[in-house]
Amino acid sequence: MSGLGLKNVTKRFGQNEVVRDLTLDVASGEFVVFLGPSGCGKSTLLRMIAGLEAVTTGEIRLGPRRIDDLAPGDRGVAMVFQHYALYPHMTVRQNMAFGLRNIGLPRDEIARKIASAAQMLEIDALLDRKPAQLSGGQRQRVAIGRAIVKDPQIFLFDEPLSNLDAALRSRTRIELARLHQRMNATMVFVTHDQVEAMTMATRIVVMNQGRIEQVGAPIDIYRRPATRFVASFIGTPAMNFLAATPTGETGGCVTVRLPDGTTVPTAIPATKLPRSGPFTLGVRAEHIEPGRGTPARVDVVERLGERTLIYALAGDGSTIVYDEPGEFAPPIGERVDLAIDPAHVHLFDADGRAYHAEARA
Amino acid sequence: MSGAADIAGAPPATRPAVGTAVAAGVGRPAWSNLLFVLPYLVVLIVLLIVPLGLGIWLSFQDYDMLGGWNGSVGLDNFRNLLTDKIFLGTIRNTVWFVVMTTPAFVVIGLALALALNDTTRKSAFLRSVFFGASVLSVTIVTLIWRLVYLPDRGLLSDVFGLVGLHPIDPVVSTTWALPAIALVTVWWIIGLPMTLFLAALQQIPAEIYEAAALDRAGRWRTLVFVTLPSIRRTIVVVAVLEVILQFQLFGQALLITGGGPNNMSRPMVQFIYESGFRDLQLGFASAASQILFALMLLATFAQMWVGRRRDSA
Repeated sequence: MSGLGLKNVTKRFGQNEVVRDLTLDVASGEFVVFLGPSGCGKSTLLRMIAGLEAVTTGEIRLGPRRIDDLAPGDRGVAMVFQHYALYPHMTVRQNMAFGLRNIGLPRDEIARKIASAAQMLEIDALLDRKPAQLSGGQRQRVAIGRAIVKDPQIFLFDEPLSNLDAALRSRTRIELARLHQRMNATMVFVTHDQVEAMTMATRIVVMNQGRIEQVGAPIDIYRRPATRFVASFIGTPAMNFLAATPTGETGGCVTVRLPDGTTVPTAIPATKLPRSGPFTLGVRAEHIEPGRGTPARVDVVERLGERTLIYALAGDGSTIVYDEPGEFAPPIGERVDLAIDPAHVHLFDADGRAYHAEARA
Repeated sequence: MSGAADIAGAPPATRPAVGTAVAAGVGRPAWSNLLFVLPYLVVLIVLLIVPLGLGIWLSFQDYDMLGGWNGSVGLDNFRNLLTDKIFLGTIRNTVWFVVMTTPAFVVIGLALALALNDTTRKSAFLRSVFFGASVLSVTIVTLIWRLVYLPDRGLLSDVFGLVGLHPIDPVVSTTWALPAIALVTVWWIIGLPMTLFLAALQQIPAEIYEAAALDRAGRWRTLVFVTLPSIRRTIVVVAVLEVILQFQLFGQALLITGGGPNNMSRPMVQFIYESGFRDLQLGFASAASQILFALMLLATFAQMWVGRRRDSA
């Protein structure tokens, strides 16, 4: 397995720049997830790594080799496609063997590799079936098997779980994570589903409008989003955002006032914050609880089983969502006062850049 | 891998029997539903089934357009046909014509479709050009090609002259008359198979080709192992369609060579036309039509059988 290096990679379709001057290093054995909304350039980036799209400028290296000028088949990559892209007229065995036959591997070697991958993925019984005779989950396994037999230096996954139902997607997520651990393979996975990214990745690359917004471990991205975009994109429900005006400092940390006049202390050092400009306070639902604070009125209740989400309308009309453990929920229309945990408050400046409390040692 | 067995063992979703729910909902057959297919059924019966039956009946009769019906002659018409050297020659000519044109339609149609299967303006223009000839009438097409085949002044003669060959006049050549008609026919209606192949090629998902590129399949292996198997059904359809169409060769032969020289390019349909409408022997002509019909059925079934065998392989 090899590490992947992207250096100043740009991709333009005519005047439209879909990937902008992107630089990233993926270490050998990492499971990196490109996460972002539709149209953010994540799939284009993956396709450039695979060789299915040409790089406009910049370079891509796999291990010591520069690969952006090589044909897809010469790059040492294997890809699992969104719709699996199995050859419909070939059996599972032929699908897995096709790439190996093309490089002239001996028959017994091909048979050995297929048997080994089929056993690992538990598709031995399906080897003589055609893709039309398989369920979605089985096809997905075959597509992964076809990638495994090639012994690639890196695996590329282009939203391979998006066609599976919720239960199967959840199981396959776990299996992919296990596969990664077992093979210690370098994997790059593209998705717009934050749950997939959070559960499988060793590092997440959050992308927006062709740029990297943040690169980091899943929990770091959740706890310390670098920008307002990341803060809003990661986490369900989305982070609450409220207009905030710094009013002073308490113990070296900023205090802000919300539109309804409530003052909220934070754990953000005042010295880190720019002196002026409008700010937005961000706080996640789990860091708000009923207590002394912003008055609001319960508007909508969502019971999720293990917790309940309560959407309340603040005095200025903005919606604040907070959660309660279990099934408890106040009646619709009831007034609640909401206390915000200062330790988990984030502030975002006018450019969307985030300021957090000092990281705990 | 835990849970793998669940996934691997999950059967593909089965489709409920179509129509079961509908039938259950209606409860009993409604004859008024027949009204929906009645217009088609009437046209089918009046214009196809009745003439077919009439034709079969006529083929066993002595029916002369001037002399009228002189009673049944059993298999005499067929016996006479199978000992008629000119008719046997038309069978040979027609089959040879089908053998020449059908593979050409498949191979050239597919080659054009492969070459023009992109979104460039050049390809769009060329697609229109190749299909454009199909809209011309047989009279125009044969007129153009009569000019091409003109001895001494025609394009063919000029080309032969350019490469230092002695010019031939295919229209009066017993060897080249039928191939010359085949060339005209392929030029004329190559647009249809090309369009059918283009439609089939555009149904192949781009992802399959991307997977093949990642599988290090070169252009030839991609064509043989990905493209051709993906459009196999269309290849069979085009072949069957062309066999049916080319067995009915008539206009081109009549207008270019008139069936000559020495009957070497006379097709079965021309023989039927001349027997029926020049010699006015409707029974005899009908019997020849039945033989043509049987030959077309035979060739079509043979092709479909081969296609199905490959499908199940």
